[in-house]
Amino acid sequence: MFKKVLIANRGEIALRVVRACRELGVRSVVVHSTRDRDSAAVDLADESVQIGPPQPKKSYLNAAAVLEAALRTGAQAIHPGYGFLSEDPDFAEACEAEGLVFIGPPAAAMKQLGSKQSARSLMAAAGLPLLPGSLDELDEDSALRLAEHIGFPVIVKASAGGGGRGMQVVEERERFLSQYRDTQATARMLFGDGSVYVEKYLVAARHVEIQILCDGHGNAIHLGTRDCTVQRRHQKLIEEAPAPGLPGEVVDELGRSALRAAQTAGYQGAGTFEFLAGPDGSCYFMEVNCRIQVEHPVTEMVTGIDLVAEQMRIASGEPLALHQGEVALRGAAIECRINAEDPDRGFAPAPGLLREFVPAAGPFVRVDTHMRSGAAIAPEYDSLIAKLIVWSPDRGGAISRMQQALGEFRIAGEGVRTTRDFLRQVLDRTEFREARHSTSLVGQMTESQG
Amino acid sequence: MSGTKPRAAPNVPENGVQNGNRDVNQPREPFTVRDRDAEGQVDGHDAPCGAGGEMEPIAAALRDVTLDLLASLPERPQRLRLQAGSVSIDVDWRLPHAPGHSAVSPVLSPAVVPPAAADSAVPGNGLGTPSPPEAPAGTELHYICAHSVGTFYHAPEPGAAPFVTEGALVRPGQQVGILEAMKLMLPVESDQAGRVVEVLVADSQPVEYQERLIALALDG
Repeated sequence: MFKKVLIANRGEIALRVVRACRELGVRSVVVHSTRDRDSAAVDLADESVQIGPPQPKKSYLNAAAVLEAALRTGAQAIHPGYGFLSEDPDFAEACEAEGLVFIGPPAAAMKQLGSKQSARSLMAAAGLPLLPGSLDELDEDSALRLAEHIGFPVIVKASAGGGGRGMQVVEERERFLSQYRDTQATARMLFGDGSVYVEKYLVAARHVEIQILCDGHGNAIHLGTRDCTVQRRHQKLIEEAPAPGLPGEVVDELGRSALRAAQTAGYQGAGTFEFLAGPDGSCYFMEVNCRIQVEHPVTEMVTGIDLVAEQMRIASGEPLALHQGEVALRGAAIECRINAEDPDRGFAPAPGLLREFVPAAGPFVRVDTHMRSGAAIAPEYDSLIAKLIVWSPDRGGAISRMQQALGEFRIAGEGVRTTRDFLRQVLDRTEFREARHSTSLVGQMTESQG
Repeated sequence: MSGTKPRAAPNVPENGVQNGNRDVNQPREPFTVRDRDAEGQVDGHDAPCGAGGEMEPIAAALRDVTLDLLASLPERPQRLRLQAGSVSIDVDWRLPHAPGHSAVSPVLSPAVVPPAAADSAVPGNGLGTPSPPEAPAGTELHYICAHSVGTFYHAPEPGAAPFVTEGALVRPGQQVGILEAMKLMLPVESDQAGRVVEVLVADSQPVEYQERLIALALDG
């Protein structure tokens, strides 16, 4: 195991990684912007280095400053958390060039899986089902012919897109060309790259994903599924493990295919394969996330496996301690993301100073947060202020426990609005309770409210 | 003594004379009144750098407060310093004939200075006489800070003469050091004209973003 690890992130995930370091007896170094100099992660870490101003580009995305901090503090490895530099193959390569271990997959695997084109062909070869469509750059006539062939509705997506931006659903043939051109223009504007592709759009789809762990010795296991169907603007609000209503044999088959694809790509570390599940239970591969995910705690709760510690063990060269047969899922876990956002204003960020911040607690309740009373929610960073996670022997129990915990969570401050009450409304919806909801649930709720 | 300036008292030696050179360590002194003639006179017309006409009411308010204060003190002070940034007034007495009697440095509460004067105080405007170069406690300090995390070097190469030493005069844009970040040698340049009061970071030492490298006493 490493003696010292640098954490190139902020917020709750930086704190989460510091805690893993402490449990493993590893010294931790947190890099931070001037805005975060009094953060909880900086407080708990053994060392900290201020690397730049509040703007992420000049601090948390400043690879040279992060590497400099790692070298001068004598860290052996860098944990990138999620977001920021976590899925940047160039950064992974730069770490290697400096003799530092990047806690994540090798740069080559990240490159291959990060590109939609190469990931798609890899998945097809591994036997993972793909949505009908084509990633090839098509002229307008061929694109229209393809859309007619796979049948409307279709979705037009920017090749360089991500995070829910640069995509449009086309419901009917008559509107295809105008929306196709529109998406190209948006993609050029957002990503400086106007290439788009066409895929079948699943109405009433669920978002399902599989957590995997691969070591550097050819061992690979999957830790079951998560369901992240409750989203607003393609960003997750509620996640649960395991995905409800997915037959065991489907999970096994998806898991086996995902591991086959990951091993073909030379993947190492923790990773997530995302799928869309249609109403008939058929699953289609979407993308791979080459990092720890925000929603990783729900998998930890049902497997008893510390995913961040596993990432560090794998990166330090240790073999996986478990075989697939030893992975046992127990009960159900739900995570709610409490964001500083105003659901009544289209989930617009609502930062401010937290006058009161009293997290929920109690049996089988976990709160991953970097916030405390008196802390400011910085406008430069994402709006996540706490992840509330509960466990129960069954899904119904987990929903009730989550309702209790959300009710207990007190957050107040000038100008601060949160998703807390909106999340409670979601938990009360019959579709959610019966696990019949789809990715359009939040949209339906906000539309009906006004 | 208010809690805002506790460092003043320990710096006063037995004879009550402040060590002028160490005084420069006191950061962010946007507004300082200094009286060196030990007569308790405060001359508001001899500002060290062009006090604008809009400063007149503030200057008058501060002068009034200070004169009231002097009138109420038990004896003439050796030194009196006003600070408007965090509003404090330090007063030192010369106590040469009182063995065993430790120096006292009362600091008035912030309420003594009218809030208007405190709020609108501008760096560089002073009511007292300009400080001589060798004792720049009354001049404004400016810090040249690291623009990146890295390693700070005093000299262009090992063994060479440093870019600047204490007392050197620098102009804006003049190189005062090197910051090495990821094998890139980035020049550190002064952004102000002034005199180097202290090089705060030793040669070849690692620094963080925005760490203070060099203290300058600004011209004027």
